[in-house]
Amino acid sequence: MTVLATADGLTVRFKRRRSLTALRPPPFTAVDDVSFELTSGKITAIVGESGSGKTTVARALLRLVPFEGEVTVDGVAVHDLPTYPGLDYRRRIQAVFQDPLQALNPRHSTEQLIGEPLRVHGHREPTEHSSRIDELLEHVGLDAELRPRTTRELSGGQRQRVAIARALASEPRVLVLDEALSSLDVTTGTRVARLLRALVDADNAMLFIAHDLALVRQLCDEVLVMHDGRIVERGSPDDVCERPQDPYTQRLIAAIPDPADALAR
Amino acid sequence: MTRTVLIRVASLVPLVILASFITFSLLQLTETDPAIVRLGDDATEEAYESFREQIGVNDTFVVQYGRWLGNAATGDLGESWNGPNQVSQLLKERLSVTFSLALGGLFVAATIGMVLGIAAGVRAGRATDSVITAAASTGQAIPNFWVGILLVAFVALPYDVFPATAYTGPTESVKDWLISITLPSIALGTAAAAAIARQTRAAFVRVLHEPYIRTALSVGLSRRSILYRTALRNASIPVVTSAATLFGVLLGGAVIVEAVFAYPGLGSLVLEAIQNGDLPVVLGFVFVAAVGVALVQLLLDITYTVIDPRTRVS
Amino acid sequence: MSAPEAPTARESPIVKIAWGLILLLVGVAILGPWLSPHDPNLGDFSKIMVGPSSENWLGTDNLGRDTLSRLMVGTRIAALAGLEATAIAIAVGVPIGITVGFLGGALDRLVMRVVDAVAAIPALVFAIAIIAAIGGGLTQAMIAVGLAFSASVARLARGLTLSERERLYVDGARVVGLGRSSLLLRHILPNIGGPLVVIATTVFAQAIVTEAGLSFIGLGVEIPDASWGSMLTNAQRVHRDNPFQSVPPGVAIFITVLAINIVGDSLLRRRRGESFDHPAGHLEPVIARSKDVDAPIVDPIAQPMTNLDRTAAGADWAGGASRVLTVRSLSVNYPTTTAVLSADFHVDEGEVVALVGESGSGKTSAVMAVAALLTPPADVRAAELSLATPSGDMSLLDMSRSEQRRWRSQLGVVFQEPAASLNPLQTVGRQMADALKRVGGMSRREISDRTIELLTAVGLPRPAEVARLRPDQISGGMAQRVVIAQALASEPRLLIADEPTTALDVTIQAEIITLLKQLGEQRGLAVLLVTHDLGVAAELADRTLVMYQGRVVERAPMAGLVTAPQHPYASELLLSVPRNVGGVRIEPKIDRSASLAVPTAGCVYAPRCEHATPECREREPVLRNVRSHLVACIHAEELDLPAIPVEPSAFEPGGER
Repeated sequence: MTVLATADGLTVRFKRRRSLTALRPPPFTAVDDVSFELTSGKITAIVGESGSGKTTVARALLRLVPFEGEVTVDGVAVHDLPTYPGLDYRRRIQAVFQDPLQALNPRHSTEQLIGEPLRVHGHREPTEHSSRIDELLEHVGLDAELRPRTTRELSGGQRQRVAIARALASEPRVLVLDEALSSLDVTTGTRVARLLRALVDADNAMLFIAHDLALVRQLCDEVLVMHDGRIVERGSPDDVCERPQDPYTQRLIAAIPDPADALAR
Repeated sequence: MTRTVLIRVASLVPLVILASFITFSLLQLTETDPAIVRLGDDATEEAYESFREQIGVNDTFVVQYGRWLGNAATGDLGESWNGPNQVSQLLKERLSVTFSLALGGLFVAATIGMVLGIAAGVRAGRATDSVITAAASTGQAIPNFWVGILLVAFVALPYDVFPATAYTGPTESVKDWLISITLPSIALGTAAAAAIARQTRAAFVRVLHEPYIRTALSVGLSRRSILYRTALRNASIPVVTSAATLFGVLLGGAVIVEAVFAYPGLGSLVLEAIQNGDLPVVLGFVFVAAVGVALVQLLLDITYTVIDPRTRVS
Repeated sequence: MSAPEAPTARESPIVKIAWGLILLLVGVAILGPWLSPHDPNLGDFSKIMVGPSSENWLGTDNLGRDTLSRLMVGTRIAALAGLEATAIAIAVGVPIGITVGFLGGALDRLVMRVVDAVAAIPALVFAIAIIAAIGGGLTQAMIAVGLAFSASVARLARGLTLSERERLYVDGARVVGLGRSSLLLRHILPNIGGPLVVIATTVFAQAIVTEAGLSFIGLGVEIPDASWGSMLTNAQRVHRDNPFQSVPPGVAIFITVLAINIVGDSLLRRRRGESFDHPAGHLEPVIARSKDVDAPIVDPIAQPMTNLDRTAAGADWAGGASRVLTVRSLSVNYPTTTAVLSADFHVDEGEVVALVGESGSGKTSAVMAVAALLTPPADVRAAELSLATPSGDMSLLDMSRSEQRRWRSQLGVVFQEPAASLNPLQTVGRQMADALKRVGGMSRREISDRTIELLTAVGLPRPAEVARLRPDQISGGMAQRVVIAQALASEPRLLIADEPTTALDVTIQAEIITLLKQLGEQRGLAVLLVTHDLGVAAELADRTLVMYQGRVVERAPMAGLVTAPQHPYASELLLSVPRNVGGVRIEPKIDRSASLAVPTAGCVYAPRCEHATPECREREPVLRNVRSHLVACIHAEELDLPAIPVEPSAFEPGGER
């Protein structure tokens, strides 16, 4: 097990809009002093509700927002990188977002979507790209016949599998999943979750951003609970879910609806 | 509310100043020599030079603009190069014609456009809508000054109701003023009404798809109340927002349409000024137009905050 | 509900004609001087101002020149002028707009200040100022017009770029490793290219009109050259004697602009792919009595369902005194799909019935049909849709459109998106008052008292204060409470809740569930709940209907469904719900992704079903009684489907809820 990513004192502040009534508004702190490690072979979850800052953590790791503190990914110091960090960094970390209809260019076909990272990173000879696309599709449980389709012509689950294949194309060490199952139906979500479990191995680590603590308990190996920009609780899924220490985590757990509750009534 | 208005004013003033600065800079490109404009070709070099000195064109650009802006703030737009007249005086005499037409055009456009747009939006997808939409698409393509020409040729000249050429100011007789601006306003307003009708219809249709319309329906509000209270108010927001731009278009159009009716407006003044190389008049003309648009914008902004309370500053 | 497909781009004949006209004009613009029947500038003084004739099709002007010939030559001037001005406006405006829109920041603010200032000057006025600076003549005039339009083009291009840049797929491409220029060239430009073309057509049309206008007042083309505008100047001089002379040039401008606008509009429509075929239909729901009244819900091959079966399945068809809502054979069709097929259900007083299913299952269509809120092109049919009210039974099928309002005020509806479900321009109190006024018979005083009472009932602290706020000033959870309060205004016996907690955070969801539970118990409300979440259903419902692709596949008491689902889909759905219990781990597995296609014959679930046999693909199952559930599966008896382990979860909060 190797540590593939670290965050130390990660803080993200957003400027507020200046107006005639507030010339120097204080910045809004979306993420406040967050630290964690991602280790290979593990899925680490950040759980929180809207406004908790969990997505901003993911965006900081992906170098999409400026941040304070120290972040490393696969040995690269992210805090020293420019806004457009270049391919050497990008190939180490990839992401899958919540809504594939929005996160994938609507004009591009499956083939173009998966081919783009292959071309950009130039991992292999262009002649090999086509067979590599088929390989990646196979890897995520899709048929090669979907290659010409655009995202609109795919089902929700297929779209998200395409997004995963695209993310895997550059063979990243870290995969960030930002609410990647939230827009899917529950049965489809379960299938894609099984796929994620199958894809995590000794060479990579996953960061799973979610609002659903029950799903996280079944899927992940490590949980961080975020509330108002801070991590309020962390630990193994069973520990956090069975012996929550923080009142917010307790509320979150109490709020999980369960089919078995039908029997309790 | 007062606060909202003050903030809007505070944001419009720099805009107008910047617009005047851009125009002032632009007019520096000219090779026209004011001394020749005023004194003709055959004056002495000393006379030319002393005139240039007198009106200050030998000063640096910044000094010239600063002086102009300082004077403009007090309502003094400088002296015409062509004669001893004050630019503000020249503009003042002509202002009423052009602005009357533009406002008349806006009135025609807003009333006809809103009524047609609502009628089409309410009956979207049906025959009424198709007819209005087709008419609006067609109407938008009609050049306003051509409508003016046709109105003069086929209405004003054959029938003795509307004047073909005589403008009456509102201070002389309100009734005659209204009669004299009717045809030009229609000419100006036609294409604009078509544009507003299309916009209103589109906004209406979009609003009718909002979830809160369904809520209103489920609560049991009547069709009438939903259409004419909930939907109309929401749909009017984008229309009001774009009306200031439309007023600018109409103001530009008025410059041409007044020529059709041979009304003594800003258009003929500025055409003469261009022929004579009288740039202070041109600058004054642009400035007045920008201020006019800004004032209309301000009025519409206030209307807008009444309709949409979310935009109020608290 | 699946997103409707974009309508196929079938061009109307008008668009074709417009394209034809544009081609014709291009031809004339190129060949005009050779095609024109007469010398456009040579006057024949023997034929001054003659009307149309075989020699001069459009007559002659006051100098005896042939109008048609002058029009044809003018076409080239109009086209060139339009092109020149458009080219300048686009060449200046688009790069500025895209650059500042893409880079943003201080540069954007600075440049946009200048652009806004230029745009504050009416374009024609600004063009006149430019002409004053650089001199007259056609070329100068069109440079002026192009520059004047470039400000608004820059604004539009910036807006397009900015909204595209902020879309998630651009971040996605950035994460993949694309740099600034690739993002712009490969992703943003292709997506804004279409709208930019539309903008260019608009500018082109405006430029043609503006050229004519400037030529008309003498700032464009120089006499005696023929431009449509200068022809009008000329015509205007003699319009007392020859009014017809002003018609042809005007018509030429009008037709040209119209053709360009039509083409531009069609490009825009194709781009957006929107069609609002029946928008105002939103206010005119359609309900029809089912033609095949009493369509068989019982498998004709299997034994017919007896009343006993029905009672056992929780479907008491005898209809007790407490029956609130009865729905029989409800079908909802859209032009291309069947959203709901022959569904039966009922809700009793004090009972919560849940419709559970995934997207596309038809659950929302079903309850919106019950709420009389579906509109064309939805086609709703039913054998019975009736509601028990204090003043007797009501049947939606017997009601005219205007009477349906009465039906709607007998039930309350809670929607999925609380914030969007409230009118953004009115305060909460005002919207409550509107709902209460519908009930009637209350003074203003009573209305405001009742508003406070209802807002208190839905658990809003400081109700008087909330009543003064607008929807944008309250949180999503508060907004949903307001929507519930509004739904209760008419004191309905039935509350329909369509995914009432889906848009809310988990902790807020728990609060709203608790509220709905309390309200149901306190007021004896019948509740029809739609949810995709069996967990939420389990918290609230007494009975549940599981829907898949428009069909009810299982109907059972909630507890029965959880302990012993009888339909393979219900079992899959149940097992997919993430639960907070120990020892359950998601196993690594690469499933083949499920196909989108809905089978045309047999069981709709067969393509995904592990237990499917060839027979399943041929014979459509109907609901029948199996182990006291109503199940639409031909193999239900043989299957022993997995349910969830039902030990209570390990962590029980101490009085937290």
